[in-house]
Amino acid sequence: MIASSSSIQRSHTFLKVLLSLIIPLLGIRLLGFINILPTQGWTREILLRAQDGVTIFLGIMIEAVPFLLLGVVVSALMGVYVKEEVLLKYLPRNRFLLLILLSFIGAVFPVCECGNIPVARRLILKGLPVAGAITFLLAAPVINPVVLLSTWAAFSFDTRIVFYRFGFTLLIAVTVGFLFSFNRKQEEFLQEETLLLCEHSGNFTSSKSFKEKMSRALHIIYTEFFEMGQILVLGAAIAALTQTLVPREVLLKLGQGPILSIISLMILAFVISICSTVDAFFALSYANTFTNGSLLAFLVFGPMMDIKSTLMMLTTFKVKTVIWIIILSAQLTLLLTLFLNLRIG
Amino acid sequence: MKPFFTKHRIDFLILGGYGVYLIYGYFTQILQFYIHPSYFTLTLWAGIFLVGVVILGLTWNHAGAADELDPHHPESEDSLRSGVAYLLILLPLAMGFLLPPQPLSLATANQRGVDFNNLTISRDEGKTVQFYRNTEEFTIKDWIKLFNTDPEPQHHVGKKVKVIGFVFRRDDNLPKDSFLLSRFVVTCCAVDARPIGLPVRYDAHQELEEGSWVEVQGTWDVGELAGKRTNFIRPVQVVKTQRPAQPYLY
Repeated sequence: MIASSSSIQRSHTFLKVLLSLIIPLLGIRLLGFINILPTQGWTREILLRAQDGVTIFLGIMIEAVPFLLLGVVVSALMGVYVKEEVLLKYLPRNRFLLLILLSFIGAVFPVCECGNIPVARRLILKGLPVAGAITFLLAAPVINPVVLLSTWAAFSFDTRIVFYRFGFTLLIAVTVGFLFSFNRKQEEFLQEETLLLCEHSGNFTSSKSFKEKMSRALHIIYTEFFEMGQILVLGAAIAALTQTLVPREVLLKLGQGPILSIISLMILAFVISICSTVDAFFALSYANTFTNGSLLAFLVFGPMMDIKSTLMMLTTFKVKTVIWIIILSAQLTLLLTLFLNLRIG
Repeated sequence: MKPFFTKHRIDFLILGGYGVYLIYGYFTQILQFYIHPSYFTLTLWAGIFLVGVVILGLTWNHAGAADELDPHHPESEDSLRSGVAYLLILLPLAMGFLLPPQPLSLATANQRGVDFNNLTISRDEGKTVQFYRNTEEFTIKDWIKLFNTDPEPQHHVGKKVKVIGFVFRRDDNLPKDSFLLSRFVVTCCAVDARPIGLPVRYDAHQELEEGSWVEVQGTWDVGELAGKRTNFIRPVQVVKTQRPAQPYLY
């Protein structure tokens, strides 16, 4: 077979990138071996910062990769096994019922937020309205047994937090999805490339042998892991950079008032990008110093939106759509938790 | 001529690379620099699964044959764009395999600020310290939890203490003759590591390099710190030591 010029080009690009990563990093490693790195002064401080940045970056990646993999596998299996017609037939016609049902999908597939985007996109390819996929994306990271249990474990002294977290998330996810559902042309929310995928996704579910289905599933796993993985890397890198460069105190000193405390914890949640399964334990460390409303804002808004999930959403939705999702969910979180702060303090 | 790095082989390298890295991390025990131990098994399985997927993909060759006809990747590929994509996906692999793995250092402790009271972060919150244990076995975290349960400093005076941590001095509230003996507490991964520390009153502490690991043996005493009555360690012995195999507390 004669290879096309583009596949030769791809091979060259890959090789160039590989070498341009390996050579400098090997260089750094060798410098470390011969011990000429400074042990004192500001250069050492910078080196330590850089080293910690790498540790935090790899920490986020290692933590997220198994969940990303889980999401990609669920997406691949849905890709080859769930028939479009069947899915659409069983979904309720009523808009509200549909959105509420979609909020609870996370309870069946407990996938972390990094794994949700491939699943949501697959649902869209299978014919689900975009608004429904948005509701799923916002709700699933919180409305699943693992996350609710860990919140319960962390806030065992104040179980109201668990109920508020559940209730607010459901309310916000359904409301945002409901607002998006008014647009008749749902494809307007999507990136051009997602639309292309829609046309090409084809009918792999019907009349294919097990082996053909599996090799198709493998192909989806390869492609989506690569595609989502690179965005995850970008998100993790930005999160690690902000973590090493901006002192946490700066965010935390932003405010103690009913509104400022909420806003500062929402920004913190957006920036630090930790997984929803453990963020309750993290929020716990601020329990003494922050208002209840702001803790809830952290627990509700954080799983919906953070640096890496925003970037990953951009693979599927238009920039405008993502900005609207962020604005709507942030505003609703602010309103609901502010109400809580002013009422029960 | 067919180029060596076909799309199929690149996919193989990347997915396999991630799989191998996770397995390698598990068996060389470097995972503990990055994530909480409760995720170790999950990470190992993810690694095994990735390697399995790659082996399957190689044996079922027609997945590779279909690859050149793939409609999702049109032939005219933008080389800048795919270059950036490769750079991103390979970056963690290259860093993970080539850079020396290191736990978080003093720089992060400095940036996040060391807490010497008020520890409400760990997973085993609610479980109390087992007070009947020999107090010399307490970790820094156990002590802070004990102080949270019983905040009256006078109650702890005279208790024997023996703890390992790194030297931290950059806190304006610290008196000149004291340093904080610190560790990181990790809940999920290095992102959420929080530095905690116990105050040690030790005149010769300037001889200790900031960030170096020491073992402090002594008894608890009470005094003023940042305008608050609090416990501090009066050391009998301060010995330089190696970084413990498990640098974080959980």
